[in-house]
Formats: sequence, structure tokens, C-alpha cells
Amino acid sequence: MIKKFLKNKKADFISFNVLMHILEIMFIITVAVFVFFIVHVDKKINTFPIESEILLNRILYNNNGLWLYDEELDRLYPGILEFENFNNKEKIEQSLSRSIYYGNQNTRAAAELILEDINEVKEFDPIYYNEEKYKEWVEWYKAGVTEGSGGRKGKTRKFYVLIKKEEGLVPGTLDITILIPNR
Amino acid sequence: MFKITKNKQGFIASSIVLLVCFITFCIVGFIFYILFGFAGKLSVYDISSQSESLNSNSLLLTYLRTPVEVNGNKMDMADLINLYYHDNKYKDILIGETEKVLNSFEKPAAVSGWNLHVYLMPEDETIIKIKTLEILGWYEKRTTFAYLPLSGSSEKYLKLKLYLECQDVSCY
Repeated sequence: MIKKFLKNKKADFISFNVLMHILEIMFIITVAVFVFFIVHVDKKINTFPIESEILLNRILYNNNGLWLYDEELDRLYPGILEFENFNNKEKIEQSLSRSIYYGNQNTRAAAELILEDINEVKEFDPIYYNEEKYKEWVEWYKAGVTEGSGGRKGKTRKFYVLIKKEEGLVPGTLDITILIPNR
Repeated sequence: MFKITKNKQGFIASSIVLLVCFITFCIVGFIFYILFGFAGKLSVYDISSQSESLNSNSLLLTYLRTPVEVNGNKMDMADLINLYYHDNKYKDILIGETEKVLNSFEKPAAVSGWNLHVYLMPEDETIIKIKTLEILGWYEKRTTFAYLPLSGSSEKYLKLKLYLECQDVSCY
């Protein structure tokens, strides 16, 4: 049957060239559809982990007035908290704003820092980075609105620190809550 | 176009080509829709950093600077470790104070805890292991080291290893 079909050239309604065209077009269709999906597929890239980590590291390792700084040696001691500065809420919040700059109108990030003295089991008044936005966003965060364009993602980390007081160093913990709105 | 319709053979052939293309388009489109549909649902790409070793290194330094009172004398943890190496009677106070500090470190998972090992170098001999958590089938995370000079010896020194013991592999 096949031999007969092949011998009869006139009966060939699918020539070799046509067959090759089918393969070519199939290949082109496959590539075109693949490219279409690659371009239009919904990609979700979550930058919150890295953004929050950068802000956290800026708070923890920056010379922002929070940590003990030896001017003579020009050396910063991350982990040893200057209690005098921490107690001066206005000064430390200004210092944090200067050292972590997200533009004049900061709508990128906010943070709350809560210090606790382990020995006295005493919690001090919290200080804020971008207080106005923090208090606005925290309600959304607490309500669990973390997804979508209006959502705010957040995380809290706890750090063991030494608090430099007049009587010397005392152990404490610093809880840092970071809030970042979705874009 | 007229040529094709007049040429009966060409008309049949091109119709078959069109039909095959249409079927191919449908099949390929369906396959990619399924593939990318699953991929889109399953994969949310997280861009994260690897700065935890920096944080645990800072934790270890802060631990070593933590003040303690031993028999009315004020010193820091680094001194107490040194003292313990020379005299075992400081073992209880070293373990007690260290556990107090290690327990105030952040625990990222419910079953996780910070442990500290002290080794005598260069022999690599274990001096003490202080564990706040001991479980079977655990994972070691955020490991960091620090070296302490040993008082009374210029050749020997102490190596401290701080790590987080986790039951779950996903704990970081």
C-alpha cells in the first residue's frame, strides 16, 4: 500500500516540501507559545526578606547613636547599647532617620525597637524609625493584611545586647519589628 | 489564494498543513498553560541574604563581654572561661551564667536552642560543652567561632564554638 502510494507521484497530496513545512511551523509555534508564556507568566518575586535584612543590619551595625562608639579609636561596638542615647527618644529617632535614608517622604520602611533589661525584667519606652508610618502600618500588619498592593509585611527579631548604664554593662534584649509595605 | 483553490492538490495539502498547525497550536498552548500554571502557583521567588553568620558572631562577642560576678569580683564571661580552665570549681557558675545568657538568645523555632563548646587549642581537646538543648536528629545552624588567649600560656589558646541546634532543617 505504501509502496504503491509512493510510486504514484500524482496521488501524493502531501509532498516532501509540505511535510517539511509542517515540521517547521510546528517548531515555530512551539517557540512562539513558549516565549509568550515566559513573557506573560505571573512572576512573584518576594523582596521582603532582603529588604528587611538590610534595614535590620543598618540598625544593628550602623553608627547611628544606638551603639557604643569610641571616638578616639573610631570604633563601634555593635551589641553594646548606649542607654543614655536610647532614653533620649527625640535625639535617637532623628539620628536613626539620618543614618537610614529612604528619601524625604519615607514610605519604604519603618521599625520599632523595644529594649528590655533582663535582670530587672523591665521594658523601656519603645523608640521608632519612621514612627508616623509605623503606627499607620502596624494596624494593617496586625490585621493580617500582608498580601497584595495594600499589604504590609513585617517581622520581629530579638537580639541579646548589653546595656551601657552608669553602673556598668547590664544584659538585655532588643526586639526589633520591621514593617515594609508591598509595592 | 485563487491559485490555491484552483490547484486542487495544493488546496488539500495546505488544508492539512493548516489543520496540523492548528492542532499543534492547541496542544502546545495547553501544555504550556498547564506547565506555567503550576509553576506560577508553586514558585514565589524569595530574594534573601546570608547575614545570619554576622549576627551570630556578634552574639558570641556580646556573650563574651557579658559581665558576671564571681565571689564578689566583677569580670566578664571571657575571664570566667579562662578561670574555669585553671580551676574546675567555677564549673557550676560558668554553666549557670552561660545558660542564662544562651536562653535569652532568639530561638527561631519551637524546638531549638543555643549551645556552646569550648576547646583547648592546638590540641583541639574539649574543655566543656554547655547545652541548652539536646535532642536526637538535630541540625547545626548559624555556627560561629571565637578564639580566646589563655592566661599563663603563650602557645595554647581556647576556641569557642557557638551554634543553634534545631530539630527542623528549615530553621535558620
